[in-house]
Amino acid sequence: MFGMNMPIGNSFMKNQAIKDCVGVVEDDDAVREALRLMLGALNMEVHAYASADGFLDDTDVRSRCACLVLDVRLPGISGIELHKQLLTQKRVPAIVFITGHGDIPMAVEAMRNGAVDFLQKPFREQQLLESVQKALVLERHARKAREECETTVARLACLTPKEHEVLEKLLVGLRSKEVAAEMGLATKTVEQHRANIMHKMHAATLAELISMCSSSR
Amino acid sequence: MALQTYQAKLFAATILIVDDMPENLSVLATLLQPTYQVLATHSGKRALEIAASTPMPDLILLDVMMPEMDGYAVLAQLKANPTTEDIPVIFVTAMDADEDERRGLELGAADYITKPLRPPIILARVRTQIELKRARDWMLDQNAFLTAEVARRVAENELINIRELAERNRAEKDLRESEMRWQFAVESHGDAMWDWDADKNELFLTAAAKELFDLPVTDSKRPIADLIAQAHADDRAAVQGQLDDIIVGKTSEWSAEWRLSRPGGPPRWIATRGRVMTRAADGRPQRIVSISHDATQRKRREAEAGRQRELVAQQGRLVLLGELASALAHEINQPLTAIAGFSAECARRVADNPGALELVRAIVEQAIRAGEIAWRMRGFARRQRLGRTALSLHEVIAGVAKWIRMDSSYLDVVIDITGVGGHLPQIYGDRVELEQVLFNLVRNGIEAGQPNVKEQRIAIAGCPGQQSGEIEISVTDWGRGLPADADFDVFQPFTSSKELGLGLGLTICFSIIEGHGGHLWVTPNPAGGTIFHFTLPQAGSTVPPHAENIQGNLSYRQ
Repeated sequence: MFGMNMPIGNSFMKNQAIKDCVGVVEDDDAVREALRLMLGALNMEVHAYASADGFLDDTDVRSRCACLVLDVRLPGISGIELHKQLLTQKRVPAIVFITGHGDIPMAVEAMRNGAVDFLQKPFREQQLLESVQKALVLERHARKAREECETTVARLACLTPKEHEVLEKLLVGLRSKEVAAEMGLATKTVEQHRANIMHKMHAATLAELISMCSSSR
Repeated sequence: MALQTYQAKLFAATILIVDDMPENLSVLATLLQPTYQVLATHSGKRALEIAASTPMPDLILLDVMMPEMDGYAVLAQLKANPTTEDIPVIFVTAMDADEDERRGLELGAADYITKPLRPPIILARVRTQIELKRARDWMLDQNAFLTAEVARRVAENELINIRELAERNRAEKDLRESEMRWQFAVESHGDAMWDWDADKNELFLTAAAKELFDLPVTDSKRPIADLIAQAHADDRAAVQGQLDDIIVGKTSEWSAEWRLSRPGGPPRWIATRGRVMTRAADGRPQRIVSISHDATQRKRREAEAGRQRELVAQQGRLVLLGELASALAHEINQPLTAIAGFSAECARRVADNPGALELVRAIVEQAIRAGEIAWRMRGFARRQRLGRTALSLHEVIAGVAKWIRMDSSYLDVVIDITGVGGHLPQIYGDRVELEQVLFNLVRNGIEAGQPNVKEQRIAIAGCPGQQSGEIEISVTDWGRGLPADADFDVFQPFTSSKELGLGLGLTICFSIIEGHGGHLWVTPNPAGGTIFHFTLPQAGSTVPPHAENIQGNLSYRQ
């Protein structure tokens, strides 16, 4: 899971409202230009590179790219290697592989590593856009979960040590009375802690609190 | 012996005196003894005995009137005995009568002397008779000598003839023996020999040959046509043709492999080598000798090896086709992708022109269709390949080494597979594809050989790979090595250091090994030359079993 140092409510929200950021890595000039045109039609922010290094060097795009359309065979670092490299990092864009070869073992490995799709060249615009849309939806879900998680983590950081202790016991299913007994507190005190926790965590019900916390662990 | 010598011997002549009167014996002995050796007897019977014994008398003086046996009877007896018939006899008689004289001469007496004895007449007559006898003896002797000489010469001639005959016989015997020895050697070698006398059209076959050619063992000689008739119908004309070439003198050596027709069974392959042993003065071959052996087993092995090679070659062609299709697909798919992409953009820009939009969409569909064709071609080549099974690499490598050893174009190549132990774990793969890889790598090594090297060596070795669960195989040559050019990637398609190379051999190897989940790379041989290495995962390790299914999904996801 992601660390607490991630900014909350950052520029992601604003950017998403404008355009999705999509990267393209393809060494064939004509194919790269065609991809750029097709993706551009979907009102996306498209950044195209001729090599893996070109993409890696563009730290700005790298940090906010939601989807990467990646050719399998590239000069220098191959598409597969770039994917592997990205997997070791905190943020991984949703990957759509495109290939002119039938690189079966590579396709298998890429799908195992979480690539969204594996398109064979040549493809219809519709196929590409569907795959990219799918990737963006997946990425959006992932981002939402990631952001919710980050929010939860940030809110948890606002709890006092006593509230943390009470929360732990509530999460394993103890009632206020049982928590009070275990902690040697008055039931009324525990219920006050619990109300504070619900407020700080922006949880309406105990069930919501439990779901929020379990997904951040 | 000369006559004079006989004369000299005159004095040594022996004279027998026969007379019943002792005083007569005494007179004659006294008279003759100074000159001759004298024997004397008073009995006719005794006289015959003395005359027949040695020394034989040269002359007998015989008294006619004797008791018991008279002179006529003794003379008749002497003449009747071949030993004594030639001894001259002088009758000595008291009677002075013509009748006695006539009778005596008729009986064969040489002369006669009448009593009273007169010494000069006796000596003269005796001397004459002795000389005559000597002369006669010499003549007889000469005659005997000549006869003996003739006999000797005749005998000598005969001896020569006999010796010649004997020698001829011995030579023939030797020849027979040497032929028998040869035949024995040939037969004990398991080979079959035949010997054809072209003039007589007599074909002599050893027992082994009769057996080989399915001919009855009983007859010893037969016409050559009998042998040719045994040839398989498809080969008969060729066999006859080769024989004809020898007969007309086109060639004197014959080397052929042909099939022998066998009722109720598969034909037998025969390898025959023959040559003309003797020729007539006009050059016409008279005797052709040939050795044959059963080549069925070898042919079967060759056919098997040929089938295997053909299978490998066929797989090689399929892999090559796959690689070509793959390379083609890649190269064509790039522009097709661009065409489809640009057309999609174009479609947006002509959205308000339905006619143009339709055309642009048609362009996209045709680009996609072209791509499908390329993929299908590749997919077809892939599907023709054989399935994967658990394999012993040792067996695969030994098999490839065997074919290369059997390949006559690689006669001077030594394939060393001592570095491949039977202990290597099994791998999971396609035997024919892996054979293709090994064959390509070995052939590559052979073709990289230094010129003027008499015997090329290629070593194949196997060991556990650096990563667990991997086997590493190396193919080492001591050839020219790879170009020093850093950009020279031997595994790229259409890259070749050979003038006529297509540059796909190593690409195919690379593709096959990668397809097996392994790696192929090359390093220089420190001793000069090149080492190709490849790894393969052991059976039961990380081969994606559903790889072919994904291939299907990828190819036809429209």
